[in-house]
Amino acid sequence: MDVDERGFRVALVADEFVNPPPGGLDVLAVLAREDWGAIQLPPGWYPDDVAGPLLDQVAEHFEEFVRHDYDVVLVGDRAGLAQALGALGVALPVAIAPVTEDELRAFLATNATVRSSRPV
Amino acid sequence: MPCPELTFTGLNRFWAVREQYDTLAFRRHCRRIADGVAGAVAAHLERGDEVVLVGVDGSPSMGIRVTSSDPARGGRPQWPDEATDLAPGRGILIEELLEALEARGAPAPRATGVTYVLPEHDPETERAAFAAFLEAH
Repeated sequence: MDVDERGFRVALVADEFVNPPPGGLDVLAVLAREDWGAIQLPPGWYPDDVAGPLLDQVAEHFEEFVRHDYDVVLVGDRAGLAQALGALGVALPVAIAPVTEDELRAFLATNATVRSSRPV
Repeated sequence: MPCPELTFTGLNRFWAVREQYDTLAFRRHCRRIADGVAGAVAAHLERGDEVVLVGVDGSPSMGIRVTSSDPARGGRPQWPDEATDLAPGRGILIEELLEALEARGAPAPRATGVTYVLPEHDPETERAAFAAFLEAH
């Protein structure tokens, strides 16, 4: 039987956690080790007319993930995200602003409820 | 970049080739995404950042050097395992993105595609090639 190799776990990640300052927590590395995918949120410095269409795209992806029972979490936050999700009738996922790797790993483990692969 | 196929035909879509996606509606969908991405590219260029474009070679939407093409593909989704639909060319979103950048007067960024879809894919070779691509100016 073939196996669907997708992870079914996606984190929406604020830009400051994708591009951390020197010595900052490397969120992408933790997500990769824990078998989570990532969608980068628009940086905070983007003007609203640039960030808005990108947030709309994030929301459309998110809504599709939710409809298919993916585990979806938010790492950090982004102004306008809640509104973009709300426009599609979905709420913000559980969120964390992690300081340590252990904190993030525990959060991801708590919110990983589906198998990492499924038969197709 | 957003995945146009995911938001157009969903997570449970069948694999498809360029000719199946190349409709007015999908082009319109890609153009909407491309306009958003082009706005972000322009914002980075305006502050002096270097921007490169990384697609997915072998993809009907995201291919940079290799796309997916088979004019005869259609109907019940069964085809022989040995069938190949890889063909030189760009994917549809990439075409729309380059047009959106041109419309804004932004230069086309240097571009490459990740190769995990391709049969000759080798992770080490790809990693080295990608590092060389990023280092080149």
